[in-house]
Amino acid sequence: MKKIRFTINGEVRECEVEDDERLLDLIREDLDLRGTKEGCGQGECGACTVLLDGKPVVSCLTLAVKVNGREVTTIEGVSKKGKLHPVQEAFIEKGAVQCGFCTPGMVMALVPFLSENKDPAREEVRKAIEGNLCRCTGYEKIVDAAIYASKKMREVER
Amino acid sequence: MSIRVEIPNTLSELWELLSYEGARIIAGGTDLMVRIRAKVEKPSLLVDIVRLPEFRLFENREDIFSIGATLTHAELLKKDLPGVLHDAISTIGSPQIRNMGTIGGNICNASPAGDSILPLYLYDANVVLLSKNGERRVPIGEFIKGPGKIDFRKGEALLKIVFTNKYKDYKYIFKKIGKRVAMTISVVSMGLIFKLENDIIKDIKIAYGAVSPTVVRIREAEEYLKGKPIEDKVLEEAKSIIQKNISPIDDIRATGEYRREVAGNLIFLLKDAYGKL
Ligand SMILES: Cc1cc2nc3c(=O)[nH]c(=O)nc-3n(C[C@H](O)[C@H](O)[C@H](O)COP(=O)(O)OP(=O)(O)OC[C@H]3O[C@@H](n4cnc5c(N)ncnc54)[C@H](O)[C@@H]3O)c2cc1C
Ligand code: FES
Ligand code: FES
Repeated sequence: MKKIRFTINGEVRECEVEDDERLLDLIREDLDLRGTKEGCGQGECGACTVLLDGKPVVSCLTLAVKVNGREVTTIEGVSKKGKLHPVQEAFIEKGAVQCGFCTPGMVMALVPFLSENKDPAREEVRKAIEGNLCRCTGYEKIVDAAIYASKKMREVER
Repeated sequence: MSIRVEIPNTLSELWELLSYEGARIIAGGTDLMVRIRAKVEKPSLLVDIVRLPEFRLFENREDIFSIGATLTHAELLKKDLPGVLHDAISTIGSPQIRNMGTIGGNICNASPAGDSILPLYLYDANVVLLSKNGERRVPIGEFIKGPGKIDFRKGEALLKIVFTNKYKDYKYIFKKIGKRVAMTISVVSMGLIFKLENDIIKDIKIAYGAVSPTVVRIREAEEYLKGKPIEDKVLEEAKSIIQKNISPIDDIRATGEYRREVAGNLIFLLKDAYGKL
């Protein structure tokens, strides 16, 4: 067992974790944050995507001990004061959610991408979500939602 | 299963941990975590080296590059790298995998399809291994001995990769053929750098991935092409030389025969590159 101290969704937490525990299990089982999903468990589907120091990583291949002293953001942490993030709103408004299993991972890949790329082309959005599989939507509506979200985010900034 | 994991903060802690039986270095974990979960590997101690600053240095001083082993693919894409290396790294995995995976992990994994490895063969890069006894420098083509096999001694860690970019005025091509566009392991990959003078190939270096037990330079084709114009007849001959020098195998991704055909045809990309000059 190892003791780790890290920030999750803005809150500092101390936890005891197994040496070889995955960040995914720390998040879902120990912290009971069930928004992050496990799909393949091999880095290929992106359903388990979270932000580590602001960058998207797959939590299924990340050891929990690695986040000691660092900052983790999960899907539960992207809405602010009960208000959904513009990316989440755009997913709903553009019908980019079908079964919803891929959605948290998609949102976590898009949030940092769209904050760095204010006016992305569709091709760039596709590349940003190349590590996220969706078995339902055929991706078009997800790309629509991302483009729409970028517009919303530009308006918020103005 | 329960594997002990330690994250050393100093080199002396690292040497001590690496001296234990069953100790294994982990960097991004994108290869090793998958292999451990698949029970292909059973280390008893994982030593995470990503917090050691010594492994994270980047230098480009008068075209002598020195790239720290635990720099991630995403970090390297923000540096001023030779174009062929930049493009090759940009094809690795996904944003998530590039944020985690390191160039050192890609090399030590020694996959014949390792995308960052291929350009390093073009530049005749050296890898620098560090142990408590000091540094050891080995050409990449000697360090990588076969699929998953490296010339690695107990107690060593890959510190950095070094090469000189003597070919700044060269054009380059990197092409990776996979089963789909995103997140794909190469079925065949080719990288080359070349220089033309009065429409004649003055110099060229060619490397292929995923068609032999390791990444390979095709020196016979390089020699053949030097002094020749980029014409169908010449490229046909280069294609057959390339096909003679590779030994592709059948696997779940493609047949050997398909790989051989595609590998040979890729050399015709020189024509496109030439057309655009
Ligand atoms: C979904 C997915 C997609 C992928 N796509 C690609 C792709 O397109 N192209 C590609 O080339 N690869 C790909 N990979 C493989 C992998 O991501 C890369 O090889 C990556 O660069 C490995 O780096 P790492 O730091 O994660 O290695 P780790 O998993 O941490 O380590 C890999 C191996 O290297 C050893 N090692 C690591 N660093 C050192 C060091 N400094 N000194 C000594 N030994 C060391 C470890 O002991 C281990 O044996 C993919 C992997 C996944 C999961
Ligand atoms: S569960 Fe982590 S990438 Fe699929
Ligand atoms: S909505 Fe079902 S997997 Fe994407």
